[in-house]
Amino acid sequence: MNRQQLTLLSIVGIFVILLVARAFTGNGFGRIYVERGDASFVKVEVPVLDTPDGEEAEGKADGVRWTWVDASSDEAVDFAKAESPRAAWESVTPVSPRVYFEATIANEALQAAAETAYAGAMTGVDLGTALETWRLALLEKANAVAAGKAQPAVEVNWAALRTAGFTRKTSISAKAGGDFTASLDAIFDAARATGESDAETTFVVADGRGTVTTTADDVVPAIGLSWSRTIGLWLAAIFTLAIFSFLYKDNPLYKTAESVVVGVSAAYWMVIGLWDMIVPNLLGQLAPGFVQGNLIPGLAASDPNWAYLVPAIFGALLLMRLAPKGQYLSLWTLAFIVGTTAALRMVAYIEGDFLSQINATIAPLYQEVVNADGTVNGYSSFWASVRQITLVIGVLACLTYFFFSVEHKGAVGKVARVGIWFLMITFGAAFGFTVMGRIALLAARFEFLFDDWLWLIDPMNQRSAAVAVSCLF
Amino acid sequence: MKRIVPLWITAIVGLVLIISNFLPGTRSWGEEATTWFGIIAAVAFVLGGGSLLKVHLKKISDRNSGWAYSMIVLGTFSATLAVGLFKIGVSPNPAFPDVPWSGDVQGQGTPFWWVYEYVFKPLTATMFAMLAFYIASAAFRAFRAKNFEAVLLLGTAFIILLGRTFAGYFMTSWIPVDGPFSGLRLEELSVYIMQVFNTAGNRAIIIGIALGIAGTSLKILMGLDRSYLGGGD
Amino acid sequence: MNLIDRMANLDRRWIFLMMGLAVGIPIIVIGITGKTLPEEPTPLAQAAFDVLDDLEPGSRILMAWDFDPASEGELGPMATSFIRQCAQKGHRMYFIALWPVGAQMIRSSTSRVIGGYYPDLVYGEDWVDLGFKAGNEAVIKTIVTDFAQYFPTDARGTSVDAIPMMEGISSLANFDAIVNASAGYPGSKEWVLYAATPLKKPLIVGCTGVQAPQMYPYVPNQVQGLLGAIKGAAEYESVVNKWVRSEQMLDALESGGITEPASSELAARFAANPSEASTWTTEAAAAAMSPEAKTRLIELASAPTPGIFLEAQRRMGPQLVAHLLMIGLIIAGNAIFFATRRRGGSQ
Repeated sequence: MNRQQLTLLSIVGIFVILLVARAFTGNGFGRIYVERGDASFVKVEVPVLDTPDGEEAEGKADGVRWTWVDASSDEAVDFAKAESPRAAWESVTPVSPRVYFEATIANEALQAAAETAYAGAMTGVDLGTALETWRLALLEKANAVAAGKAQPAVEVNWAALRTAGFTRKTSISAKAGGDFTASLDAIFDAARATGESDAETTFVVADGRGTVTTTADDVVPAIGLSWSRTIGLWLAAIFTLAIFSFLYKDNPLYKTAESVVVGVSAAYWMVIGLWDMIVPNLLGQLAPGFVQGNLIPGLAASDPNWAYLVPAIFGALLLMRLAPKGQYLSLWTLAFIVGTTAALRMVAYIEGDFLSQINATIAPLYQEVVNADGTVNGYSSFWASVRQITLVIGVLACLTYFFFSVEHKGAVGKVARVGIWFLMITFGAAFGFTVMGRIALLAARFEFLFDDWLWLIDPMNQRSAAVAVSCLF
Repeated sequence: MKRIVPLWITAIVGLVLIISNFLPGTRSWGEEATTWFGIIAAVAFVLGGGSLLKVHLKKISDRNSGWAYSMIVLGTFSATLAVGLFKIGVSPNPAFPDVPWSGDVQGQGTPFWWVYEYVFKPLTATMFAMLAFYIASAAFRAFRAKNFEAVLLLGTAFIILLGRTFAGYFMTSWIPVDGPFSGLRLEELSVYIMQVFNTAGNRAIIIGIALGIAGTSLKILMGLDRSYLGGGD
Repeated sequence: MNLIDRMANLDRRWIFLMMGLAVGIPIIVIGITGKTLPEEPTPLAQAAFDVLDDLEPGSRILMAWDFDPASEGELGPMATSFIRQCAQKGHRMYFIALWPVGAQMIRSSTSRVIGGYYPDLVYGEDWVDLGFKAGNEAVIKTIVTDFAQYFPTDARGTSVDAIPMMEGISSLANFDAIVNASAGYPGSKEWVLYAATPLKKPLIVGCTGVQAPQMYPYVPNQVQGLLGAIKGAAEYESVVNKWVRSEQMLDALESGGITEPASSELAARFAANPSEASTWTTEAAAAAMSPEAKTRLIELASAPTPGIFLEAQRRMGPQLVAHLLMIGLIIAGNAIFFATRRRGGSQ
């Protein structure tokens, strides 16, 4: 094994050891958590108020209109019927790992608190006060277990309790304390005695919350690991390292990553071109009914605009390039593209670049700078004028250098040489700025590796600071 | 015929667009033409995908060297295209839950978004980030202060590199801010270079290029420059 | 082989490693300490801020996001701060993209800033995502006179007629300013040529380091504010952060009964020096304030700026070390070159 391989092997070895060590410290790394919920919708008939005269929009008739609303919205509560059409799917929201960690810590603490015997007595008070006393005691115990790492929450789902027949005023006379869960049960038993329903009341721990609730309103843990996104994150990290591996030398891993990027980006652009441009702007003109009915229901209704057959034909001709015969037809489209570009640029460059830039240069060489009190600031005026004069000299000198119709000899040669100096400074500045840009891009990639993947740093406070630092050292 | 039609298309569309700048009545013609241009540009994305397919299919069928990588290109291409075109795993638009194809293919959580977030984004971003390494290597090997012009270039680069970070501020922080030499503070100097010298140089370049573009465009529209039609009559 | 020869033939992978460390180590150090380098805004960054600040709240701002993940390292922080300033000021934001991937840039920056810090902003009334359109400068050229021609719907498929904030927008002339984050073609140059110059609209450009020098000649006639590369982003970010803090403090002061002009003065003072807020609340002038407003004020003064609004300033750390490395490499390369040449060496 030569020295080069040894160096490489030790660098890779150190990296792998660090990676393994990192995996077993703190909360590990490279995971993505999400909160899962339901997105459910219901179609309701909503009365329309203030319909502007003469406006007959789709689905609007006799002062009512059919519309889809969120199933938990006020409209849904007011207007939804049992037979109303409904739709639902799972909604997934990413949450920072901190939320998950805190929920886990709080879950454990609450569970521990709930399983510990409750010392206080709960007699002669109404349900609300009893629950409040219990809530505080529970929190205190849970906080002691969590040691201040996360704040558990205890909620009383009054809405659920009310539907189960409990009221805030329900009087109770539970047996004196001892076991906390027993006391709680006693409270609810007593409450049920005066209530209307005998729904089972439970204490559920999930997502860092303890909830007193009825079976009518089960609390299902919603925050958890997203396998698809976590695998994605690791894939992204591996691809990043695969590209970086080219710095050592060309290798199959790099070539694979390169092939993936070629394939994915070509398809990506095609898909975007289709859904963002061809469908709304071309199909939406040629077949508005079809597009509105099936693809973009929000599109305003209109009649077909047959003029758009022209770009459709030009587009088809362009694709003739792929055909074995008749490739010359794609030149027609190319001619359209070239003609449009040339015409757009000719006008814009003359107006925006040529005339405006000359206009910007023709300014008084003496630049007066006025103080706040209206007097002329001689010092500032002097420097502002120097700048303006330098600028004008610079532009003229550079233009002289670009003017090749005259031989660069004598006075012209001297001026042109000054022009070269200006251009060299310009190129130096461009180089400096280019370096600056390139480094920022590299920094962003390293931040991805260190922050999102390895969890070494936590600038966005996505994981608790204590966790992040403790696992590094 | 093969060459006359394209020349006429170029001339007509160019003329319409130029006229639409000046005659208010013809403005909508120009708008139509530029919108069509956008649609054709989107079709060009399809052409790009098609060409890629053609090249790599040929490579595979000929068993050219590296044809296995062409398989990867085709595989990732088809997979991305499929999840994107067929809106796989996309929930409908919440305002229209009964229209299954109304969903947002780029929305967070869709498979197409997954490809963007975990494949496209890291790969393209890292490819560009590699340039930082190459520019460092080039700095060590290629930038030589052989003559006065090169010294000017490198000196400016140094001032910019220092003046645009805290290093510049730190190195010349002893020069009083409101004194007569405050302009020599590196951060001030870098601003001055950009706003005077760089502006002068780039302005001359802009004016030159603008003339060049206007000239070329005119030649193309008048059919004098036919290079875009390809060689040979 | 002596030292000079060995240096002259140095394997370039050592230089790669140096660059990697120069960028990587400061990121870790800054990440752990949480400290960033101080920023003083240059006139152009300040001008960018002033243009948006001088407009009345509720002004219509076109936000053109013409970049992709490859340049997100430079432009992402600018996009974040542009949105933060507009959202805090109460401007109406209209996002569009001329780059196919720009649509994703709009989604990520709006969900991070608006979703995370301005959840009260209503989609369709305070901001709208019009998405990507193909056609490069042709898009700009068209919307200068007719907006709906190119944008029949927003990115979510809602007709522009049904979007409240699109009412009264028929062309680019109806906007009050254009903000552009640009990574190349089509980008800031096209916005200057096809929109800002003919319409004489205020244009604020945030662009990559490669483009920035070419944009300077357009200042101040055709471009009113210019943020070049990550340094421009860091300067602008620090201006916006300071202003947002003072605005939030102003709200706290006014909710506590302190009126203009005293409230503005105090807010500006506390934003510059947050520790003053806690001492001031004990003074007589603060007696009229409610305890809640006082607590809120002290909270605001001591609250750290959220990490996403310090992205550019954090990135100035690796920038500093890497710039010094670049200068060192150029000097070392030249020293070796001249040393070998003097010896009549390999050159």
